[in-house]
Amino acid sequence: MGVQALFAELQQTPLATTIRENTVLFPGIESLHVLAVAFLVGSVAVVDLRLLGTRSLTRSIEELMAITLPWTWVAFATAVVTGCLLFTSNAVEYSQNVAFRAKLLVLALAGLNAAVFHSATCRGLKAWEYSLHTPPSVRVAGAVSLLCWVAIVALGRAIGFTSAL
Amino acid sequence: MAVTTSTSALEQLSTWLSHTAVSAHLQKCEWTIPAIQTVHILSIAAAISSAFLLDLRFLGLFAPGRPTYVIARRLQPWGTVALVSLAVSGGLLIVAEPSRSLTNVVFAVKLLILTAALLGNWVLKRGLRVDLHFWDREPARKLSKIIAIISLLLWSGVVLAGRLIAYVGA
Repeated sequence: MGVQALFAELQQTPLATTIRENTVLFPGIESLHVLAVAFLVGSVAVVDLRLLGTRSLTRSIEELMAITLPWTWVAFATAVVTGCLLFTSNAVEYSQNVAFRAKLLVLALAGLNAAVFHSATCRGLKAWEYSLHTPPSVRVAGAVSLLCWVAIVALGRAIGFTSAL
Repeated sequence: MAVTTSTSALEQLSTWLSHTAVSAHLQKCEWTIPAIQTVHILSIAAAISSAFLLDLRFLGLFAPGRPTYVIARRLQPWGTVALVSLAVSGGLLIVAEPSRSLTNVVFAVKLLILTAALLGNWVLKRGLRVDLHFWDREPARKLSKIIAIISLLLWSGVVLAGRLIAYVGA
């Protein structure tokens, strides 16, 4: 069975049908998705701007991440759950939407960037975590993250204005 | 009767705006509106994140080791910039599609919730301006937590209502 057939079956499930056909459910979940993404982007930006060396300089990067990232994860989990529910309701169409595909691609890039930063770049943290001039690799990680999230918001908004491939 | 009059006034304003050159210009390219909406969403991200983090600080759920006034001062500029950006992008969106918002009941509700949310923020910051430790003492401490919870709900309401504008036909 191909992926498209799987998506076709997915959107025929009772859950997907309910979300699609209920007049309140889809807008409600979508509003929640926007709220979660907004807080997600804002809380990510708090850390990114610190990595770029422009904000929160009186606070160490480690401390800032420790207090901010738990909220980032709450927002991310909400965005993923609501996003999956929205996708389910119209899986075939979304999977063929150019903006949706691009959004997932940039999302993967943002994830990869964060993974590299936390596993590799972060290792030397003690050496520069209080420094006003963060190393280039750290600044690049912050800049890539910010750009990715701006693109994710733009592509997310574009889904509704774009058609299938 | 007053309601009827104000509605028709908004309808007239909406019709007039939709015939202006600026409105026509904004509608000419199909990507202009989603682009402005993206700026609007990014601005709301900055606005609600700074409001949320301050509320969470008052609730002791964010940066509990730091004094509240320090967090408030740090977030203040972002909130202000975001509000200006929201007003400009929101204003452009109204001019581009006046009937989508001006005569839409959800838009009116959104502005109402926004006003209440801003009032909550103002009260919290006013206390800090009176005395940096104003909210640290009882019973003000308890009150600040109640205001913070209401503020979290109100700011969420602003975003939810904002998205729902698209679903309520004018």
